[in-house]
Amino acid sequence: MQLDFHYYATYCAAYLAGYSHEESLKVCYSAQFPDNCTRTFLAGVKAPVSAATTQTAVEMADTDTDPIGLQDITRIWASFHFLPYDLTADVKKGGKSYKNKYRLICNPNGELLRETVNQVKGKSLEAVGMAMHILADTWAHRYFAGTPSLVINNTNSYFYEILEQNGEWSERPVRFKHTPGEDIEKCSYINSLAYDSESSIMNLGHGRAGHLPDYSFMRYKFMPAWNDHKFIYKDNPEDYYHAFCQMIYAMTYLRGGAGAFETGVYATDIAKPYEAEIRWIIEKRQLDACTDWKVFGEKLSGQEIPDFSVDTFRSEYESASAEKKDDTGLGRFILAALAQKSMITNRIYRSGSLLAGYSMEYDGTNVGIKDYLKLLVNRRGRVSK
Amino acid sequence: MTKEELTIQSPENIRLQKYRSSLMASGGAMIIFSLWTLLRSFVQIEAKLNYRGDTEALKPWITAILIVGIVELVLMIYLGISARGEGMGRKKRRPYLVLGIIVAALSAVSILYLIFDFQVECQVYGVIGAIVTLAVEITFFYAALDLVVSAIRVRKLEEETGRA
Repeated sequence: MQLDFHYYATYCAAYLAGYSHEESLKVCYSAQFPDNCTRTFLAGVKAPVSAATTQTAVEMADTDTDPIGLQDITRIWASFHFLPYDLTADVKKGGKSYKNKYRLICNPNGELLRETVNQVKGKSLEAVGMAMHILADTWAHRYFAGTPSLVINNTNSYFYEILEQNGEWSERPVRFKHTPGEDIEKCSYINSLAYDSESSIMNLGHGRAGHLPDYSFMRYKFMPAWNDHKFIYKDNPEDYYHAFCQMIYAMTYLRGGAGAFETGVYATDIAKPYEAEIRWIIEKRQLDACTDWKVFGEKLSGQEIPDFSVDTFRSEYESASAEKKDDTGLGRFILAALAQKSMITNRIYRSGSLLAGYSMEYDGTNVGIKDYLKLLVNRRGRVSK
Repeated sequence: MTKEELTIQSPENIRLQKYRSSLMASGGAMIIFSLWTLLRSFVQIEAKLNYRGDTEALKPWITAILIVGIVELVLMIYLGISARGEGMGRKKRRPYLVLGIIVAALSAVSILYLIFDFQVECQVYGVIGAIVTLAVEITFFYAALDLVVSAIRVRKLEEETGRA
């Protein structure tokens, strides 16, 4: 998903879930921030770089694709953008390496999503926002895995856009290219270069399908190698509407709902009065829906939604004293990100896979490798207080 | 078309995609093997020259081997490109299937020849050379057979599903 959904649509969902305008802004800011929190950014503000939730193209190009580098990539992308659906999935063919990668395929409503949302219950609004980013991405990024893998993530010539016009349905082949400029009318989109190395960074996530999964209007079908010659039909308008309703449900629960977060539940009743408008925005054929979502959000709350800027977190964090940094928006986001990375690394490790690296448990809490020293110090500090 | 027609896949369509995928793979193999056939022609010439040493007497034979190698290269590239094209769902080129059957049959004969004449092959090309030639020829036969079977099944399934 892109800024339009992670920032503006999340604001709308938070507001509908009952958060105030100011709280909704904090939530949506942190829902967008996982796409901006790179090592380069964190190093620039002297924050722990291990809390990175994404990588720039330059950072990825700079990462070695040896086992250590691949584990680093997987920890970031599987934890925040391609949440694995079923780490115990049974695969009847292939070896252990294939099985481990197959199990990282993202899909909504998995056990890890339940853990992700329940983990941020009672935590900061920044943690809530981060969890909403992960939840929303499980819908957009389904069928791709957050680890570089040709066998899982590659696409082939079987890739069609499904179009509906006045009740008539048709299909046309998607033309992928590597030069700038995407054209909706010509069905021409950018994707990553074809590279037949299993662990090439070109085969990370939905890179080989370009930005298609991130466009809410897109309906398409494609045939990944792992699906036994069966095509997958992906209906983004339907999936994005489900994502929106599930975010409302999740945030209603996080604001003080009783019990535990359950998967497969959607707050369609809350969204119902706005369904037509929401579906209109989602289905509108455009590469960027920020303006429409912004107008809808401002109509909902009657307040202005400022444009997203990474500087909001940066300036607050840089101006805070060393002891107060954890109490800033970025400080709280970092702690939430480390906890999420730690939990996902641990779950992948416990499934018998080393794709995300080693994980050890300390004091009954899930702790990853040295990346999570900051988290450990914070937890111990809280215990001693 | 209805949405269901475009988004729900029948078992026949799944099988069709399987054979199309197989056709593309074996078509690709043909293109790669075409280079092998040319390389094999050069290896044959060099081995024969080393074995007999009489260049003048072998000139007609060398010419024939080179012509056969080049013709084989062109035909196999045509075969591979046609098979891949049909595998991708592009316009069919019917003659290539006949060519595929001929190539598979000749490959089978070649394997039998290599087996029965193995000792002589060992003397001319060495033991490793003879084994490698036989292994490559068996692989080639498998790819050609797969191409023919896949192409026939793709056409049959296309007729059944009304896509022909």
